[in-house]
Amino acid sequence: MNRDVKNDNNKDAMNNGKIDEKRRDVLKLMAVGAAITSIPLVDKEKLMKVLKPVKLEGMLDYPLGGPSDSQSALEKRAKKKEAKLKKWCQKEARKVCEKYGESSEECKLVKQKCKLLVVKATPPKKGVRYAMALDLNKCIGCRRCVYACVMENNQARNLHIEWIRVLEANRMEFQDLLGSQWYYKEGPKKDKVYIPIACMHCEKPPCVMVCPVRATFKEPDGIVVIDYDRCIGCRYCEVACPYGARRFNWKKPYIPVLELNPNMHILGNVPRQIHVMEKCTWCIQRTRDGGVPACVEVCPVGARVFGNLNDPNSPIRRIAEEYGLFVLKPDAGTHPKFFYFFGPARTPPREGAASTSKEAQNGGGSK
Amino acid sequence: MARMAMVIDLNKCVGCYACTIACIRENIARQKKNGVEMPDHIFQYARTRPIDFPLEGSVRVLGFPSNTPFFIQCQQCENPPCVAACPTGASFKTKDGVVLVDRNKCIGCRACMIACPYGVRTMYLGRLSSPPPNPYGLVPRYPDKCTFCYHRKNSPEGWVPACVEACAFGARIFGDLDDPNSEVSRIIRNGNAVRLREDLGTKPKFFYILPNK
Amino acid sequence: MSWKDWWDTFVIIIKDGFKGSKRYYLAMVGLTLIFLYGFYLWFFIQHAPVFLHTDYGGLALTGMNDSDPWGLYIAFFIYWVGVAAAGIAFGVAAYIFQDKELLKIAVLGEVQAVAALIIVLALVGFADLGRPIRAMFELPFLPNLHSMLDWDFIVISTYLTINLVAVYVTIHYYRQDKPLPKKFIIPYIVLAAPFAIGIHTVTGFIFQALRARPIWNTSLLAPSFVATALAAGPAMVLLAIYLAERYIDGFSVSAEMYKKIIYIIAGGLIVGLYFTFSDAQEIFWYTTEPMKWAQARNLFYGLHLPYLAVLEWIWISFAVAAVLLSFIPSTHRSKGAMAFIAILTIIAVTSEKTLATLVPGFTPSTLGEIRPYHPTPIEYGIALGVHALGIMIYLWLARPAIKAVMTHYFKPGIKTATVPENSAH
Repeated sequence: MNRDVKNDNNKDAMNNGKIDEKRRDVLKLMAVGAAITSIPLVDKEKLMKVLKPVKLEGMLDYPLGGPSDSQSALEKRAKKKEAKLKKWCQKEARKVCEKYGESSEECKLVKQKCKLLVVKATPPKKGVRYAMALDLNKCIGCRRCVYACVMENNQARNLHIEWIRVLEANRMEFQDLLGSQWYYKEGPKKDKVYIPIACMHCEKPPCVMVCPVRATFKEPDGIVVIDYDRCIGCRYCEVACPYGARRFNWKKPYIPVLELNPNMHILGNVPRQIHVMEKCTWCIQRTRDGGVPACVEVCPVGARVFGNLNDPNSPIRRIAEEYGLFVLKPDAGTHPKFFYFFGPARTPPREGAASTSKEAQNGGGSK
Repeated sequence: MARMAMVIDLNKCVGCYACTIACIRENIARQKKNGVEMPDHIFQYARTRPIDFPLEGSVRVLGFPSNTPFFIQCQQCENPPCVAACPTGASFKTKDGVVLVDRNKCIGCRACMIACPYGVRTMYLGRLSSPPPNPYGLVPRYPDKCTFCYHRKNSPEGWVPACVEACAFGARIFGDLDDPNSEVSRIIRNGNAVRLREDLGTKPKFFYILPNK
Repeated sequence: MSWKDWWDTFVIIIKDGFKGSKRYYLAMVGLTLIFLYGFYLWFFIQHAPVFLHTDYGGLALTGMNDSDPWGLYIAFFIYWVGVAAAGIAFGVAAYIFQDKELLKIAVLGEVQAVAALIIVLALVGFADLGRPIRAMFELPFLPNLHSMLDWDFIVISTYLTINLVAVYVTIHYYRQDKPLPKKFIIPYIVLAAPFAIGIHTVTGFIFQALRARPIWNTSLLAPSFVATALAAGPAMVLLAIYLAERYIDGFSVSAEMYKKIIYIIAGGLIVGLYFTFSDAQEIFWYTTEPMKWAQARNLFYGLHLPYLAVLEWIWISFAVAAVLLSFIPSTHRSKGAMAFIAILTIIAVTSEKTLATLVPGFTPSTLGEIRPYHPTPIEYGIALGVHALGIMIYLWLARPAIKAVMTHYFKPGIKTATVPENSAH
């Protein structure tokens, strides 16, 4: 193998092949002419303007077609919906009270819920860009975020709609979702990594691009929402989503009034009609009032971090600087706002070796 | 069967380029009586070389410290596109899972360089008068790639690539993935190793541990 | 020419629908019953919660779910858009070249386009859409021009209008034994030709731009749609002429015309097969992309959905057979043989452009879940009803159209204007 092969056949081949010199000269002349004429035409400053990167700040507010309704129309709609829901709630409450008796716990709870019931239309805050990060080293796949999400967001109980999906994947090939399991039975296993997947709230959302009636759109604070009163149920967004994050109400959704969450947002967890699309909204009814999403609050191991990307002191920025974040399916070019990261490593000591605290702290496999 | 793999722990890497220099010394530069002979623009032809940023669209790292060094070299894929693209079967995968080039079959068509999604195959088109330092070293006008220092496979000190040997901080770990007790498989089982361009399904055997500050 | 003449044409078209032989009445009544059954299934069962606010029903009754959001309806939507697009090939070619034989059958292509587009609109706008009433208000007034579905609605409705006008004008002039005026022909050619290719191209764009579904994400999708459409549409026209010759006295088209249509079919099939081959090369030769590979394996080997592989291989084998048959000179002499080629082509393209195009994108789904899609009886029922409606409209419009063509081109003196040897003597 270690021979320096002398292979100069290429040169001969080049000389043998006839080349039409005249044609080349003409072409050269044309090119030079074009270059000369173009020089005085191009203003250097103009050229620099073209080459400058586009400023994204203004463009990111409602990219790709904004919402179909203005804020005031949305508020009006929310009020109407609130009145309707209150009526429905009181009707259901009467039924519950008949069933359990006037003095029962259930009756009191339902009556309180009807009193608290509110449908908000809080507008996005300015200068806020939300993001969520999830520590794959911490997640134990307990699926508590899924249950919390169902309860918080008034998801239909008869449709098995779950906005969050938790995948069990091999740690070696965790980004190869083909080999992952959806329906795993028991809790954290060795060599497995648990990847909760919900709406990624992409910077360039394919679902927003394909919606024919602007029923789904990206708000200036980074949350992709669906207007349930505009959705025509064509399911194009579900086909276009690379993360399988969207759910369709294939049947008439049903929520028992006892499990209703009275804190609602018109674009978020207001009970859906049939044949409309729904998906994670980062608990818009909580976050717009300064809270955190239900999944973040419920996570028993604190794997989820939620915050404002624009705020340099927010936890999400700290995580980004300390650990580095990455996203699922970066090749799709959607620029998700839902990040994954590997927090402090939980590398156990080698078999046989004594487990010193030093080694555990050192992280990813020291020698 | 073995599946040799390497991990770069970006927590420990300080960017001293010792691995690059070691690779050049081991595989590329030729010792001559009156000095050293090596290709022009030598860093382009080093088999492990620093790049400024993680590959676009690979691990999109936000807030990735800009001074973190990032080294790239042949990813030794389990499903290598370069082998699929080779017209003569000169690129092949050994039993150790290392992708090599058989120079007796290579016709220099550079199809493998085009097929490689990581851009880690190079070809030096200049001239070098002396033979390469080892049988798997760089030869002009042949595609050149990392071989995990395949010539050291049967050496008495064990198979340790030059870059691993040179790393003073233990940032590079080399071992067999099929052996569950090896350092590499232990790290990958439990640690936070990611691979580049996972979406392509090339299944690289080259892992990076993202930096924890 | 007064407005009264135009109104008379309308009356004639409507009246002709109620005149006919016993066989025609039987067919129409049967089709109406099938359509009404489909409508019942759709309005009172599948979409009952939307229209009647019932608790039962909903799209949950179909085989579709969150892994396979689209099913049989969209599959047949793709096919019929293609048929509609190809109908225009005759009209435009006939008016450009002023070929008498082509002019005779041009109107059949237009009628076919109208019927196919009504099937398309019924499928995508009513059967498949979750909330059709909302869509009717929102699609025109709140469009999102980034969405290909919007463009599809725009292009399809424009094309339907063009074709309805064309059919009407053609019947109007031919019925009075007048040639079509230039005032109509030139705008028709200018408008219809781009829209014909446009409707199918835009349909391809709906699918091909989605990064989420790797098997569709190839820029060959729209061209291959157009190519196979140029095979299936003319094949349907050929079959229609063949049947018209049998059942309508005095209507005849020369074998030369049949041969020309067979050329178009063979060309379309060869290009379509070539595109399939080109896609297969990309998938089976080099691609390392796991999701694309898994979806392609489902399509060609039918691992989880055997019917996909059956459909795909029917397409390949029947198309090859049709192309080979069309190469044999002796088939060009028999109209029956050419009609057989047309049937082969229709079967081949139907199997490729319906479920075999759509379902591989969903199995496995974007997160790797495999949830096989099987259409349920209600989907078959509604699709059948929609098709019955299309055939009804086709029969309704085609009969006065052929009659009008016959008054213009089949004058009593010249029995077969098509054979030059006879007329020369």
